[in-house]
Amino acid sequence: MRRVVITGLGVVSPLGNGARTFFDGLVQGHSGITRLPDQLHPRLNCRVVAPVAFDSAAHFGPTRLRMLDRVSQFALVAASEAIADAGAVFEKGDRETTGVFVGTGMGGAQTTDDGYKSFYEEHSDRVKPYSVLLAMNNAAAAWIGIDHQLLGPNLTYSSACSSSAVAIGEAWKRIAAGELDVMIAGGSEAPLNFGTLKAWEALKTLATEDPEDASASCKPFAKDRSGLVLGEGAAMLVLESRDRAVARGARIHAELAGYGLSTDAEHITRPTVAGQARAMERALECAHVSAAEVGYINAHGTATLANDAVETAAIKRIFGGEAQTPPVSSTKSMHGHLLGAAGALEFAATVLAIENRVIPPTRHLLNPDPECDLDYVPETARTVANLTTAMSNSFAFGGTNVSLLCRAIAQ
Amino acid sequence: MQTLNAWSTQLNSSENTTFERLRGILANEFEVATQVITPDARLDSLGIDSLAVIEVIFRLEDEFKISFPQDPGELSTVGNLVSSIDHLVAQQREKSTLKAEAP
Repeated sequence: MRRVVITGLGVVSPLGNGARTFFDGLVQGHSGITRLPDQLHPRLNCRVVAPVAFDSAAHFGPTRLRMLDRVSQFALVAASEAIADAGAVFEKGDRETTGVFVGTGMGGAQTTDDGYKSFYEEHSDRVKPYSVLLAMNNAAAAWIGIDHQLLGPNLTYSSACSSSAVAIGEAWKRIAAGELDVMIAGGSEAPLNFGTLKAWEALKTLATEDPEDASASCKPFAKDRSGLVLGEGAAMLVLESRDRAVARGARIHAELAGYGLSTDAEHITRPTVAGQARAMERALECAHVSAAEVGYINAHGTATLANDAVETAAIKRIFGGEAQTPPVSSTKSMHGHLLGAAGALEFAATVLAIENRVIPPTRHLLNPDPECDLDYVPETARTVANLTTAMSNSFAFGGTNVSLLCRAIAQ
Repeated sequence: MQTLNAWSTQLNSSENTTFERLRGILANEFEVATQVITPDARLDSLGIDSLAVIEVIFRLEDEFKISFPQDPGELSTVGNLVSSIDHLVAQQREKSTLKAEAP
């Protein structure tokens, strides 16, 4: 197996755009969660979301925008940043063999919602001619390939909330196995439209608004947690074989050392301790890393009743009791749940934590749940000088569990 | 060809014509360079493919308060579009006049 490193990062997030801005926001404990204006969706009970401040016209002309759903716009901006961040990654060619693997849960959900609204509600027979091309799940990946002339495999993974973690893991496999040298991998999601929010509302998993501070509505691992907050955005990575990256003198963020994939196969929404634990165990085995070496876990930590207690139990099953378990944090408390893009965004946070030796906190954890009894790095970021290895968990409806392991490159 | 040129001259001589409004939309919203938008310019040569033509038609329906038929006929040039718009606008006007005059 060849070693795989991360040489480029790109982020479009509720905490701001650009990987640096995103990570600074996390470390400072900012929240990208905000109150939905009443007048925007008077028929919604969902009151809080994590939107991205994004000026489409600053990135794309009007002709281009007609072809791009919001989900593809995010993906393209994040991919361009990641490729630029990777330096002269295509200077010696390799565009012919570079692949693009993207994860998304809902694809062009905005286009679908707009089309239905126009057809059903406004009784218009005019459906936008590009609707299919905007809404299709693989549009984001396809546009990245087209814009950057990447002719290798172009695939889209959709396994709900672990979609982009799967995309990154599968890209890792291609490079580790020696099939390809460079991959663009990540995820994008833009689900903040009326129909999608209403559907999530019906599932009874969304957080209620914190009466004192809407931005504090997502409270992972807290006793008073009430559910997840839907967010939008994208994160993209440039993955490269370590030998290639070293040969071209690239700046390396960290190594992607392990990928663990498991399936619950029990219930469509309810997670299992065994399934989550298996994903973590496989990631460790795959990287030949012991549990004791892991210095930080970026949890899936959705702030739903079901997830946080089960994830805590699964972590303890693999890492031992509280004394042996490394610090765990859920950055969803700040950027919300990006569904199909969550895995990529949180893996980016994990890579940056390793690179900067700083663990971002779990915010709004003032009232701990006795069932969630680990060190969740409450409220304030923590500097850990010897932080070298970290794990990022992504679990999904449908039961597809992913753990990604990354470590500092000096090892 | 002669009639087209004559027509083109006629179009360019009057202000705020259908052609000019169309040219404004194509330039501002479809990023076509103004100088290449001439009555005999083919839409595909302006970068407006068959799907983009549908977007253009939707925009023109809003702009001119008209409705293109399911089969809009020959729309391969800017001139074709202008004729169709003028025809549909006239038809629309006739309809509303008839309605107004109805007993």
